[in-house]
Amino acid sequence: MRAVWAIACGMIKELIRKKDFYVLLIFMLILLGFLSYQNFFDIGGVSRYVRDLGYSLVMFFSFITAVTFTAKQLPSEIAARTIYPLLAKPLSRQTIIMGKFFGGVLVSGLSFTIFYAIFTGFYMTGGEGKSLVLLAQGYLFGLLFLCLVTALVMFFSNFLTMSANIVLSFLLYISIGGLADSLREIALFSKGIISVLYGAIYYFLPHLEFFDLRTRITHAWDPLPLWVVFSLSGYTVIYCCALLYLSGYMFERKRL
Amino acid sequence: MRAKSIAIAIVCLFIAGFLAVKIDLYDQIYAIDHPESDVPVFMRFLGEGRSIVSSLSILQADRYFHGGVGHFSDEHEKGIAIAEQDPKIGESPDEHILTDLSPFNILFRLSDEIDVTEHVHLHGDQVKEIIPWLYYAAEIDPHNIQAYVLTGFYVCDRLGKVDQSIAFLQEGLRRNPDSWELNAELGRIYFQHIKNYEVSAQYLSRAWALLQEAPHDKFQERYVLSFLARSYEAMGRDDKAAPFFDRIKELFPKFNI
Amino acid sequence: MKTILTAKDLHYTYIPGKEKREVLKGIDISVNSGEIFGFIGPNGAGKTTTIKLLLGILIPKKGELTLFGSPPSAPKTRQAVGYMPEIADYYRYLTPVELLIMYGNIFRIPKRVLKERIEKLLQLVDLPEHANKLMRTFSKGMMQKVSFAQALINDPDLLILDEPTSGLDPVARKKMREVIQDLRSKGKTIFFSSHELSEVELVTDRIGILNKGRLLAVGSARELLGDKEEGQSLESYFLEMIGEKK
Repeated sequence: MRAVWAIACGMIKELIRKKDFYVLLIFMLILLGFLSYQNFFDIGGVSRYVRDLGYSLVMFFSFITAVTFTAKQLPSEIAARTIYPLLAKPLSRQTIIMGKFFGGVLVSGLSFTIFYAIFTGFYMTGGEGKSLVLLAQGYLFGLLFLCLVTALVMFFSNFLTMSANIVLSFLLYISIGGLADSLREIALFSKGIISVLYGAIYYFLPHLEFFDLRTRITHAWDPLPLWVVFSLSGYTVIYCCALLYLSGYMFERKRL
Repeated sequence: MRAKSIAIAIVCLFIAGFLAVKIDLYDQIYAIDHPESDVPVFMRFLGEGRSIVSSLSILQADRYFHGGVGHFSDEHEKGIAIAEQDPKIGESPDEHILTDLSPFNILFRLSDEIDVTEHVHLHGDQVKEIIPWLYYAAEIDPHNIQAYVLTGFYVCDRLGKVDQSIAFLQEGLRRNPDSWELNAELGRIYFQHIKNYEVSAQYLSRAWALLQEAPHDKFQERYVLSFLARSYEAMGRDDKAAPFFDRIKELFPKFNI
Repeated sequence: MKTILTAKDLHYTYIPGKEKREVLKGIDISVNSGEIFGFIGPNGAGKTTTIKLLLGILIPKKGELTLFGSPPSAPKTRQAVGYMPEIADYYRYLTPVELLIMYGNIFRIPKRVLKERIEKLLQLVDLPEHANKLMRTFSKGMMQKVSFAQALINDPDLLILDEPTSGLDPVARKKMREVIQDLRSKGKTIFFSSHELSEVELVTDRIGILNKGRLLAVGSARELLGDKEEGQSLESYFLEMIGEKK
């Protein structure tokens, strides 16, 4: 665990010392400030679109942080040849994968926490239907989402270049909602082998769309029942474990 | 050496400043001759995609109207456009059709639970939440007439900001002088809210003239004519109103005026 | 004297695509405790592959390889090994101290011990004034010094150095040689790979000459040059061995 923490800490320092995070933070503050101070026909108290765009920005910027930081970890270790002194240390390749994953989650989780705190400030200052339970669920779901994204990017980085990894992750992020809906419909309304096949693909896909509470938070819908929160946490843990096991297995066999 | 560098830098700055003023002047003169070019850089960057983004913004307004759930296509199939809806129809029962799923089909059940599918409508003051999207739809594509008409309708009729609505519609008209819809909407507002029948008749007459040149249906014609006829009627000009009432009768023989 | 490193009939074959390339064709090495073993050979001879095998990064296809009587990949073995790569562009957003703390934590070195050791190591490699500066400003030579320090962070019994003097100025080279000899005097074993034949000749106890995956000769410089006419350098002997001298 100390080795995993040691590797992860290095990534946090990278987040703090590189400009990427600050650019996103400033951009978010400017955008949220601009949106909040917009005046439409002297109508006060318009809040939903600020919540909507604010939440989307939080998720998207955290996603960017998770993907860009995690995707470059293994390729840059190999390119800079720092992987060799690391591999020469008393740690397994699985531990390196775990360290990089944990680092990715910490980095994106930390960014997400800061972004979410700002969003919470805007959320609490205006609008109707404020729900702390929903806000807490949004935070938990955001962290779970980042765990899944980091594990996914970690897995991809075993066989994709950094840029291909980033592009694939973005495509997945953008298209997964629509794709999952289509697969679900086909699986539900067809019969026989087609239903089984599409159902299997549906189960196999990483359901990033499950973590999106934008509509609920924006339009002040009820929080999700507890069984959904637990199920989704379990889903994330299982999916991440599977991806990390596969990543470790592939990295173990990678010729360096 | 250092003094020389500073001198060169100052001269360069002066030249840059001089050029900036010249370019700005040229830009302003060009914008007078080419109103299309007088748009922010981001909008220019969007190019033809502006109309798509603008339409998406209207769809987003519709989603907001339904509490974040998209029902736009369903309601269009039923012939109910967003601006024509009766606010009372929001009381419709939950349309969420729960799929009969096995308890073991955990992911499908999760998806079903997470998705918000209830059918609700915004009421009263809540309608203000859709305004930003309608406003941006018009800002992004100044030729999106629907965006102006919808914004004008909600701002005036639902939020009671008559002056702002008129100003916005007039801005739309400045950008789209040949739009019968904008003339008709302005005429309606002057008729219903300002009670200035002379101005309403002017707008509606222009709308009526423009409508003749545009493809339209009889419902649209009735819409313009009914307000136009009633404007003349309110002004005591029954002679002018009569032909329009006749035309409505011609279009809808069973219509009770 | 105790044997630390034993390689018997070591084979390794790369399979890039479908084409097989035998990089090591059965090499035998043994390095004793407290010895400095120089490993020389032209580019593509198999030096780096041998080092990767010694570090457990690669697994031999055939043959036997042990460090301290255990396979190189065993955690216990790695705990006693220090490695300095030929080129490594260490994390430029970290300071040397942070890098050494990271590696020290991987070795589970107690915090107090680690702090003292880092101070000593930075003193040893002449970087105390740069201890808390980000490495993005470092020259290649400074990076080599950091690399050397990280190889020593666990106070290893076996130090594997890949081209340790490349990028160093003559003063730093001399200092490095002194440090290596000092480490030997403390009972450390050093496996030293280099292109710099004069460097190898000056520092090592024994030399192994590797060419095209085969170990052509092993012995001290005196042993290797013993039969030759007086005045012949290691360089000319080396060129002769690898068939480059007519």
